[in-house]
Amino acid sequence: MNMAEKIAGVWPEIALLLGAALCLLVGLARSVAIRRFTGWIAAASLLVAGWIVAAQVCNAGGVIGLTPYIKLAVVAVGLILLMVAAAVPVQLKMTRDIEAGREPFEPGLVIRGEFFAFFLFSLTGVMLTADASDLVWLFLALELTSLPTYVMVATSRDRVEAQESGVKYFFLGAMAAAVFLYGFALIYGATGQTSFSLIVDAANQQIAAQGRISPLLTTGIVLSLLGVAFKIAAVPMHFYAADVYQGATTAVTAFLAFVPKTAGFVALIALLGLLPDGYVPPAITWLLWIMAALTMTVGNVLGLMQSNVKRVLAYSSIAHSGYMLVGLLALHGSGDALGNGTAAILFYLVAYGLATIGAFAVLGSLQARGEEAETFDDISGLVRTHPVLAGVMLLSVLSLLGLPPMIGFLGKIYLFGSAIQHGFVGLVVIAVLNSAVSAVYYLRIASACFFGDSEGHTVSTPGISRPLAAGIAAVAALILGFAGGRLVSTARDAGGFPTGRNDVVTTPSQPPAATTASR
Amino acid sequence: MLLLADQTVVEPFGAVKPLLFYALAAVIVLSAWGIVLSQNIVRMAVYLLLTLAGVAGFYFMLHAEFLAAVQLIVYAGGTLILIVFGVMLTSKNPFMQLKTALWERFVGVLIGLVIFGLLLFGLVHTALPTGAAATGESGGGHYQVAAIGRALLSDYLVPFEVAAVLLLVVMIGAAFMARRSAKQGNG
Amino acid sequence: MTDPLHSLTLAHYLFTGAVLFVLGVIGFISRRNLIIMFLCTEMMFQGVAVTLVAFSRYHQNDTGQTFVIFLLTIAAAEAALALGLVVLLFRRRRTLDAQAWGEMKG
Repeated sequence: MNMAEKIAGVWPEIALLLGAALCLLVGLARSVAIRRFTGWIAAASLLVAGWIVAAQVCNAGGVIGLTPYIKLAVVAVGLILLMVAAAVPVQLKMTRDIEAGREPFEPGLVIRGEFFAFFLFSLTGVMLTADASDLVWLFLALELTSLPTYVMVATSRDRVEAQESGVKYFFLGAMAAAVFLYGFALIYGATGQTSFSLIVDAANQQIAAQGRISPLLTTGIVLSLLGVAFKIAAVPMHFYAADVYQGATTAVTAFLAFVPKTAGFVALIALLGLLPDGYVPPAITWLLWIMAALTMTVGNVLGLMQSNVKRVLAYSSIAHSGYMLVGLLALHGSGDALGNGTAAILFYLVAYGLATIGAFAVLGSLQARGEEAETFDDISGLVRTHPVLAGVMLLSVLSLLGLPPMIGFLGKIYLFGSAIQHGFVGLVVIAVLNSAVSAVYYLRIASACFFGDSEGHTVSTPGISRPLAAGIAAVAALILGFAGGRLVSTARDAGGFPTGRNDVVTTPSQPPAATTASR
Repeated sequence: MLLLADQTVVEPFGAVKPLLFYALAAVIVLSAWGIVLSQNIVRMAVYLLLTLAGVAGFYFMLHAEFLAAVQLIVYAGGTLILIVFGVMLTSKNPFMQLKTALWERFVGVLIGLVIFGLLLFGLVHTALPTGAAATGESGGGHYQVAAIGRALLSDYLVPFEVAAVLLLVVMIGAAFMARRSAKQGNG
Repeated sequence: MTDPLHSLTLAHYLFTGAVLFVLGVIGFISRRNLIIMFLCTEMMFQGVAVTLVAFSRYHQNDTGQTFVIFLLTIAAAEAALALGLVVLLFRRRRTLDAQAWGEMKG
């Protein structure tokens, strides 16, 4: 396999990297007018990346596998996130001060260029995670997703809370990376390979020889799952979520709620894809079961006790990770959407992403006492001052709650349906009970918006992009809820591959040589 | 553990090698233990140096000479200096004493033991695949460097490039954070 | 059965790697100074690296060693980022005691 073939799949990533480099360069320009272009450059590179993915899909005969699905989702949601990020208030003020000559020009002070570059770097990491066909590749892609987010959190606003949460996020992230690396090392040790297809071959040989995979491989996968759980904020590694989500600026929080989580679930799907078809060791089943149950329960129960909307949404994000872990148990499923956990997770990622970003974008569109809105008081009586934003917030929380017209409802049906088909009825009962509990805090947000007394100190953030982003996310969540059929079938196609990716699908009948050649 | 004992690793140093191993293992584990227990932050950095050097010794014994050299140059020479700088920059008194509560240690040790038990379980209950399944070139000798180099630019081309991007991200990120704080650090 | 005291096996190296990793975990959880926590993650990385090299030797392929090259790169990158973050925070807070900065709200 020559280099051209090897990089053929990563052209979208290359487009994003070029965009990031351009952002860095343009961000150093003296003139504010030129520096304003960095956001547009980021948007353009996302569009180019999306166009390349679409062209690749067309070349492949219109079949959307997991990799293009994730890439397209990243492009689409990335554009909305970009609109949320386009007007970070601190930057705006600073840019204006510099423009008006109140502050001397200092490229290091104006976040724009670097911020958008890190934004694109992190999205590149997610796309590379979807491309990964090797443990080393997966490791580096996950790191590329995470490292820019640490800087984004720490520098997102000029407050010590942001820096503290950035440090906390970084240190726990480094620890989690070491844990999943140990898992990778054991997987390599048990099979002698790092390529996914060769690992699957080795696991199949172990099954053929002993009727089970070696405990070393099981331990390796268990440790990898525990380490990657950090990215999705699942239970043993969920401690950071509330503090970090609260500490970062709202634009970055929305980013954290979707981007690392997507990378984490793609990695989890890939790691579970290392198991031979139809064989999941009981230890891993139990681990996922317990993780899913604890994650959603902890997220929802702690979500009840918060007075800060950002923290509520952080715990809601933990709870949603728990729901998606339920789908992970039904990973190896039949072709139809109801039975296929991978498809359900892929669909739910988009559903959850749209709703949660919509909610964060509403918060980011509002200001109270010079800070972004984040407490229940800040959004109290929102319907009287900003009726549209209140409506968007309502749609978002209803979608997160999973009420029928919204996309979140469809998502939950598929997730829980796939789990029921695989016999995890007990877990689904827990999940449904949890959804009921979550109604309390979601409706608390909605009722604060609609029935609370407005204290009149909340004003909208200057700029149209954030309310627009919130509106787009909410409308998309609504329309897809009514007409999600296309997305569902796409997700089903994407999840249809047993190991989640077309170039790694290995059945025992396939000669190993053929799979080696493909990578 | 017993299952593993059958599979002997090649031993170029002959009878001395086990002694060498135990000496290095003692250095590694004792200095690592020292990092966990020590109250003096500068001493910890020295203990880390010992750990890193011991691990480099392991690499020599395992015929990973290139890695051993990289470990000594990059890690002991670079990363450790960076850490010492961190200590010096952030500590008014680098020799300050640090104490931890008893229950924190207890929790730490408990979680550590659970993980260790998990690892031991995995190792003990596994009959590792036989060495005959090996496909790559045999390790050792100077060709190893060439093999690693080839792997980096063929099988691992994309990860290699991603590593380059990561270093760029980190370089800009670190400079970015330092610059902001230099301008408005106490604001 | 060979005498484990007089001949070396894969298990010897794996065991040492596991001890390093677990000591790192213990230190990370029980110590509350950012620099020490960082040293402990470095120890964990070293434990992983020893494991990888031992398996690389055992499987007689260089994949594990190549993996370690990437591991060292990332470890160095994280060290740089850690230093940047720690200095950034220290300038604001004048302490690196993780407990001093607010309780870890569940």
